[in-house]
Amino acid sequence: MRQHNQKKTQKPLLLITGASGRLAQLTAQVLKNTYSIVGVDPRPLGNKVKFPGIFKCIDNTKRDLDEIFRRYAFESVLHLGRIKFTVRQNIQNRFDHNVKGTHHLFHLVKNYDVKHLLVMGTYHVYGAHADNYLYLEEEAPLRGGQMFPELVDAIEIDHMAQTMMWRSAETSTTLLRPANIIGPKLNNAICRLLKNPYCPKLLGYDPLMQFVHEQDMVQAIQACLIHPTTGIYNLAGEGPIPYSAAIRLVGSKALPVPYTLLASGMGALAKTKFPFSRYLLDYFRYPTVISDRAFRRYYQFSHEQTLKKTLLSLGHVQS
Amino acid sequence: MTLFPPKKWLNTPHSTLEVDKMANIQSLLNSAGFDPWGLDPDTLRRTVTILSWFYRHYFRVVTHCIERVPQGRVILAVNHGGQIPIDGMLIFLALMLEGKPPRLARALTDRLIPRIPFISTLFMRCGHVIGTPQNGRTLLDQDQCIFVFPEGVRGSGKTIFNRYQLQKFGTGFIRLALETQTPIVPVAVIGAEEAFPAITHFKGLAKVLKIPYLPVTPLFPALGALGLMPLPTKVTIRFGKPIQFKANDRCSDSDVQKMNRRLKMAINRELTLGLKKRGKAIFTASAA
Repeated sequence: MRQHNQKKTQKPLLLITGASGRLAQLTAQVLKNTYSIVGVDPRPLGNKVKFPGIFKCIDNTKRDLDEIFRRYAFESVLHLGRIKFTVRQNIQNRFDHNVKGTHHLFHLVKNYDVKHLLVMGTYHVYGAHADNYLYLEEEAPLRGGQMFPELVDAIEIDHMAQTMMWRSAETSTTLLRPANIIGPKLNNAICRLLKNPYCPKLLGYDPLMQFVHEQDMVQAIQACLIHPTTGIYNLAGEGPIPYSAAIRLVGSKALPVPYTLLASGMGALAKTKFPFSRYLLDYFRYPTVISDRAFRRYYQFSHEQTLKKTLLSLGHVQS
Repeated sequence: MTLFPPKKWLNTPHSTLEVDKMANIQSLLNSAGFDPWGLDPDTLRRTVTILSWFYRHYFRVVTHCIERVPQGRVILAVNHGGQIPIDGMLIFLALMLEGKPPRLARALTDRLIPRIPFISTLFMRCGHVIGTPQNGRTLLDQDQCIFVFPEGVRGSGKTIFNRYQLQKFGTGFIRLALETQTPIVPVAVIGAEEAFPAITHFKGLAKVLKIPYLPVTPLFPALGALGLMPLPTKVTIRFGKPIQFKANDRCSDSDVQKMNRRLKMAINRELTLGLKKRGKAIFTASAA
């Protein structure tokens, strides 16, 4: 059956986890001409969303995922299925889903001889610390979990991907650690925050931040899939910008709040729709600026969207 | 809208031209107008405009042999003292206001700075960065000018009785210079060490406040916040001849200590010469 499917499709097969997410959908739209795409996600697709391929509502931790691997001979797997901060999930559930689900997925990748695995990590794994130097390279220590357990799952996935690199030499495993991904079509925490007419900002602190445009992110994913390699790569946009300047460019107004007040009020805010968690607070106090020199050099990659365009694309200014 | 300083200040000849002349900054700016280290030319221009008054009229700074600072990557090694880093501020202004051509000297700051609200932001907007070897290496690779205080907190926390007595030097910057093949210019700042004359320190209170030291001067804390104002001593900045250490960057610590001693002697020489010229008239005489 597996071979039969492989013969039937001319294009190589690509599995995308977290396929209900906006970034996955954007990526699938761009890759639909190159790959036959199968998307999986425990969340259903939105009503008006048309996934450019086969979509299955499957949890990565469940055995249904094995069946997908039995039916389709994937050449590449794009792992975008990490649940980020959400008020609906407690830390334990999130950890179970993210870590156990990833473990299960990687196990299948190894067993079914997938040629290429691309894992989407995050720059949060480096942690926000006062003594961080600027332009952290991929070798920098991962200190994200030092202060808050909420980031342990992200670090664990990162470590699992690194383990895959030497444990499964037949599969080329690429791990991307992008900075804040923003764009008009995304709906992640940083986009929701910047789209607010008033953006909270820690009084007296204005760290440097980096932003990657959603289109550049998709281009980077495409580059990784077309030229598979084993390695870890940071991905940042044009350059860093102070948070307050980013707020200004988006067209919002900064609302300075003392750190202690915001930290103590986080519990109450978590119950509202405010898109933020306490563990992210330090990223608004100290800089975590990454260097993507290795990625640019290896893939001959250059961003298409300037920093200014990236921030203006959030569209708040025009509205 | 500009609240401070007023626009007419910004249009004075010595305010706008220094920042705009620094081509090495302009070329690094991204599409949002910031350099890779968070420098904002507008904030820098305002800061320089305000501080240049203190530079010219309060401390009446005189520079000696500033032309010895070479083009391209360079480390300025400066003596430290006076509790608050006035010396750092004056070096930064000297290179910008009197450098030929004007250039931005970036401080590799103490690790305490990013933890201090407002100050951390101001430092970043003016192009200063936290003092880590990685930051230093990246800056020097970009042919920038950085300045370091090899004595660190040991130097700035000196009491008035130990003024101009160089404390133990760190070695990190020497290794950085070897690694990046960067010349080091010994710099002596004379006058800043008397501007905030500490007699002793509140050691216990400093520990509670988690700060390196809390000085007691004849005016502080007796006069409260007013006592924090430095005295208007006349400041001279003497630039020594650049030293290019030639050794493998994997050389032993004892070799680095030898280089350190050579550099310390060079700074000491400038200090001795300057102090001899200045004499006891700390408020009026120049040490150039």
